Amino acid sequence: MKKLSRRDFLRASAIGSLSAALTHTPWAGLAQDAVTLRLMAWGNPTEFEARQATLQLFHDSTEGINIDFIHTPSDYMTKLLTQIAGGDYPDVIFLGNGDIEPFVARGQLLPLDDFIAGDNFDTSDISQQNLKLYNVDGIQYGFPVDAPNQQLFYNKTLFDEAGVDTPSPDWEDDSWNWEAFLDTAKAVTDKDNGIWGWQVKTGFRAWWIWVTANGGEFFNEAGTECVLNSPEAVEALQFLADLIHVHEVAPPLDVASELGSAELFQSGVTAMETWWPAIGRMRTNIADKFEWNVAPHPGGKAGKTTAGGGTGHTISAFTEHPEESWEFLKFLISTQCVSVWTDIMGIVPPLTSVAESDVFLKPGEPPADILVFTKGNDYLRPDPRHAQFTQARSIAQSQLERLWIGGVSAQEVADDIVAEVNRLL
Amino acid sequence: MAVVTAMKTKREKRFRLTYRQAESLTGFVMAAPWILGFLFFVAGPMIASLYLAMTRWDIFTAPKFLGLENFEVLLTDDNLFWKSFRVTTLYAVFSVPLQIAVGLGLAQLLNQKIRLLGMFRSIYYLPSVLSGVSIAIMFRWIFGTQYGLLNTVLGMLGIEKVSWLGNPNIVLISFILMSIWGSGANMLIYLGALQGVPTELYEAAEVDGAGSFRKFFKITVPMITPVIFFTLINGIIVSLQEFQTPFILTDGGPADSSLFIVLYLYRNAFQWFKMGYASAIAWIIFVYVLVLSILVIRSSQAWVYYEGSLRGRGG
Amino acid sequence: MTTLPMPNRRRTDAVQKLIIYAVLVAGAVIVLFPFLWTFSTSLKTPEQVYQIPPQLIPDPIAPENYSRVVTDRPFGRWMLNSLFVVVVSTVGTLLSCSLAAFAFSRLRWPGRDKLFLVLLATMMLPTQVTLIPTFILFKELGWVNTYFPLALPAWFARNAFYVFLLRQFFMTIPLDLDDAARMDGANNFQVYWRIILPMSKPALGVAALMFAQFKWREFLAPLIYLNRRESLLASIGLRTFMDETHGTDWELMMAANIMFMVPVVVVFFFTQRYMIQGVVISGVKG
Repeated sequence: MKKLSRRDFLRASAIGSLSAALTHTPWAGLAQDAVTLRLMAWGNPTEFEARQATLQLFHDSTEGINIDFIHTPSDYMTKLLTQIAGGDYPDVIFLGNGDIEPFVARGQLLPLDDFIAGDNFDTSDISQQNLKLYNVDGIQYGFPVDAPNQQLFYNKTLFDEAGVDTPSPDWEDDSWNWEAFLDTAKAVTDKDNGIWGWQVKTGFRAWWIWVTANGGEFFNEAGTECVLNSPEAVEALQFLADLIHVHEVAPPLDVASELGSAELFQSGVTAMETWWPAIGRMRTNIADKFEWNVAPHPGGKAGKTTAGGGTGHTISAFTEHPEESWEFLKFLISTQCVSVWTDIMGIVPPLTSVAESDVFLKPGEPPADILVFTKGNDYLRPDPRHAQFTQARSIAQSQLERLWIGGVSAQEVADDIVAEVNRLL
Repeated sequence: MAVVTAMKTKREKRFRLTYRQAESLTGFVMAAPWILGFLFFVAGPMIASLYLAMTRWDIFTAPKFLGLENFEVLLTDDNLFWKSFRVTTLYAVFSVPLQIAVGLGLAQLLNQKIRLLGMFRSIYYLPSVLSGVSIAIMFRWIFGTQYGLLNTVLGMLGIEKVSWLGNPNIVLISFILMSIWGSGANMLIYLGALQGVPTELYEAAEVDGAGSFRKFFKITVPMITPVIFFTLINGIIVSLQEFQTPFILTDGGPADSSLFIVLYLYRNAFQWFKMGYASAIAWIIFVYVLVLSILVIRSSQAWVYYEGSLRGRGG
Repeated sequence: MTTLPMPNRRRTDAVQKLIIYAVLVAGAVIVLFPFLWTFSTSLKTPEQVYQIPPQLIPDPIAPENYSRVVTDRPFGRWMLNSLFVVVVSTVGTLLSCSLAAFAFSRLRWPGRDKLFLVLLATMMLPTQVTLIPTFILFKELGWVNTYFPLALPAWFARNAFYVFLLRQFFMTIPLDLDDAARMDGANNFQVYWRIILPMSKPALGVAALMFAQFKWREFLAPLIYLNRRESLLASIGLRTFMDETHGTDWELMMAANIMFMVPVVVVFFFTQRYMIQGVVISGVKG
């Protein structure tokens, strides 16, 4: 009998410890009375490194606030939304600028205006174009973590070998247009040696730049209709498709998708590509394999544009610790934190002071024309803002694959996209 | 001895009623975990899912009742749904019979006096042990156009590079090839069944002068039709629910040419948060599986050969 | 067969055997080569990965890929998480399914046969139908981001197939044994625990192996329920090596894939006799 009850006891305690293990283990090193904020963010290993460095900085400089970092490496939006749907709100949320609006519409973000006013918080150092991306109807909901925009990267070594002029870094220079771009791409393409002038990237922003440069739009102003089949947009899409199929200056789609789009440029297969300014990784990956630099994308009918806009930090409307979250948010946009982040990521910082400092400019290291990024902020055309944009983009992306594969015209594909997307609106 | 037994029977008789009741009670108690599991994880969710299928619900705000609108939109106005339906059906129509045929062929080859039988059997079964994510990831690399194993081998034979995952007309073929590569589970089941086919039948047929082909189609196949029937039903159920392979290999692309129906459900539910619409898709999948299974079961009377002695064997 | 003493016949037999072996060996190569290729890629440097023509045996080899898998990402932790979920849910499945199997095969109670039909029907039910409401149930319980949604249903015999499998086995054990035990004063639970379970070790082993294997590679549920980097399962963690924008580190992903497959292959290697038996039983008797 005794033996049995002891066994029962063991069993009970086993079940107890089991359920403790089943729910996640609490954050280690919890100081007494300290508030723990939960920060949810994505990030590849480089971003993870930057995140850990800045969190360490916060930990060292702040008393009483611990950060529980929920790192979600993939499927971020799905994960974030399912977690929130589960009633489990992180206090501080890392959010792409295009996602701000739906979150605000659902009342999930905390307005920051009272905090900004109460603290007399000076936002003048923050890049205004980027700050604006986290503002809905005049209310500020977050601060940018970076100010990236996608530019044209080129392999200077390949240009020199082919004896071709490199693109102008000057945003005002009209001679760098689509025609000049095509000539350049043809001149540097050397198919016998497996060198391509360009790579048509399939990501949304990579083609969005061309559409906006030509004066195209995704939605009409009222957001009631998709207008991707306008002559301007269609011309831009056809131009890109022709780079693959007619001019043959860009490799077929599956060559790129096999490698992951970053590899082609970094291994010297393509002479030019669209890339966002995570220069840090580019510097280490290319090292001294070849010389490289950046320039704006060529101007279309509507001039030069760029896409991107980056990501920001926001506070959940349901946080139990708004004061502490605000403290943390202020830290995240501080010169100190942004400098560490910029140093590791090599990404355009959202603070003018840091953007002008050597932390970002890194004199002597490529790209020589790094100011293209900083100036590019004035030409930024962020993602369309619309409640149905996520699904609309998914439709467009799938349909456009047909265009990139070949055999259909941009007009047909754009018409199909418009029909499908309009069904949603 | 006899006295003891008599006493026991007597005692049992006296408590007979309570004993039966006790047995019933114990039966319920022991089956209770399953019964509870069935109520909470199967029956309840099924009813809930049927209700959800009649709503519009983004999970954040209250569901809005729509009646049959979701089904109407799905069946009459959603090209992507029909595309995914076609993709999934095409895949099932080819991969299931081919897996059966290849599995049967392998089993037949192994069902001889073969040396290293155990080794071959294990090798062929290996893909089934590992199936899922790892195999999909492996094949993503094998199907690569430039650096993939398959194109490298074909290149040695002088065949031009094929865009296995990048061409909308080929991508389903790649999926089917991959499924055939994993026919080992079927092989194993057939092998077990083949070993249960009485050898006298073959001997009798040989006396009648039947060749190997005739023996295979006139004796082997009919004798193991119950097992083929099982793998057919199972194959249909599994292939109509294919998710991780397209999710990892192509994410439904290119241009939705490998958009399997469950992948479309997943996107609706967990990327676009259309829980009601996704539930309607789930019910269509359910009904589709049900209808196909019933058709197969109905047809089985015509082609499945049941013989008492066979059913008892093999295990 | 060989009773007919014809030399011709023997020769054709030999040729036939040769063809059979040739086909079998070719098939084995087709099955095994992808694994070999994966292993080879896992030992390459990034430059070697993109080399044309590809090398089968990399020179030099890069075993550091394996240590990078556990340092760049917490893949070791993910494997342990998977192991934890597998062990907890396998124990749950064995207990709950064997209890139900006992009730369905050795006890008489009202409604038993009807319920068993229901159980058989659930085996054919596509999981998608219950996916969303189950997700909502666990979300309401606040269990998103915990292992409960992955392990708990197993304790309630959610995978009815194993009830079926064990019931089939229990039916082969003579009922006399139960009666004899009852005469010695054992109650039904004791019959279950002291007589039937010990006699069913092989069947329980088969069920455990099949279920553990299934659980190890489970994908959709962990994909939906787990968000935190450190609490992911290995099957989901594998996918984090795929990065569309920054390029996939194929050599790392393949190294992780090998690490993910090795435990399964090792277990399979030592238990293949039972596992193969299990598949055959479930197929032939199903």
